Amino acid sequence: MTPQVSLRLNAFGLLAICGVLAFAFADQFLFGDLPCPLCVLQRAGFAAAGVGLALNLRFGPRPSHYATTILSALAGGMISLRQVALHIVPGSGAYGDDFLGLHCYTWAFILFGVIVMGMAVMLLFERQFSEREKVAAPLSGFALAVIAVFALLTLGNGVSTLLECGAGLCPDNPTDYLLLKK
Amino acid sequence: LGHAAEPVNSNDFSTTISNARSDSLRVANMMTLPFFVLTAALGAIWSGNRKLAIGLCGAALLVTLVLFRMHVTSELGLGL
Repeated sequence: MTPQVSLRLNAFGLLAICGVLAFAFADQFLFGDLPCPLCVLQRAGFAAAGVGLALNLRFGPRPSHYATTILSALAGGMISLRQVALHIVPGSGAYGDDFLGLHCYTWAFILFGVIVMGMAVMLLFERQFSEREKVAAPLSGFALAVIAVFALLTLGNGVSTLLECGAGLCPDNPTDYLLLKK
Repeated sequence: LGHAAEPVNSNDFSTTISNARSDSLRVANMMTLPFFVLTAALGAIWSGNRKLAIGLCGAALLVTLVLFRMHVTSELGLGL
């Protein structure tokens, strides 16, 4: 796999993470499904995983960038697994509405697993790391746009969490935005 | 052993340290913190500072895990 192909795949991966964060935002603002504390932390896991891919796009593919994404996805997966385990026993309830038969935290766990697998597969292709194959200017217009959207979504999550939880821990079952309450 | 704890003077150095610790803990409590640190990491990527970006991403992950630990307050009811 050449660095160019690798960068294209990384850009699509980052776009997919943008899709996940945008979906979470849509669920929050269109359907009023306020994120719980663990949901917020899972979003942070996705955002941290995306930073690894953004590093690849800006500086070229490196194993340390993939490692950043894998570690972030493992942390996010651990958080989502905790939430799955909280609700897995029949009668223990659930948080939020389901999507295609699964709740968001279950989808998050699956997606974190997909990210780890995807990064492991990418690491198999060593030619992308060879110095001779390094591209001079790896940041294409598409990659630039994806990084910009990703940065906006990450910052947006920060602002939204600040509005919802203020400068502290989020309530377990948030019903409204703490900073917008009169 | 067996001595009652002495009342702490509010001007005491240890109290100052304790206040500083609780202040930093309050900052770490901010659930919005990982996102802002990650945004700073993206800023570092933009400005070409690779090592700083990786460091900030690691710091954001650490904060996320600390916040996660703070929310693990109950035992899972998974007993058979």
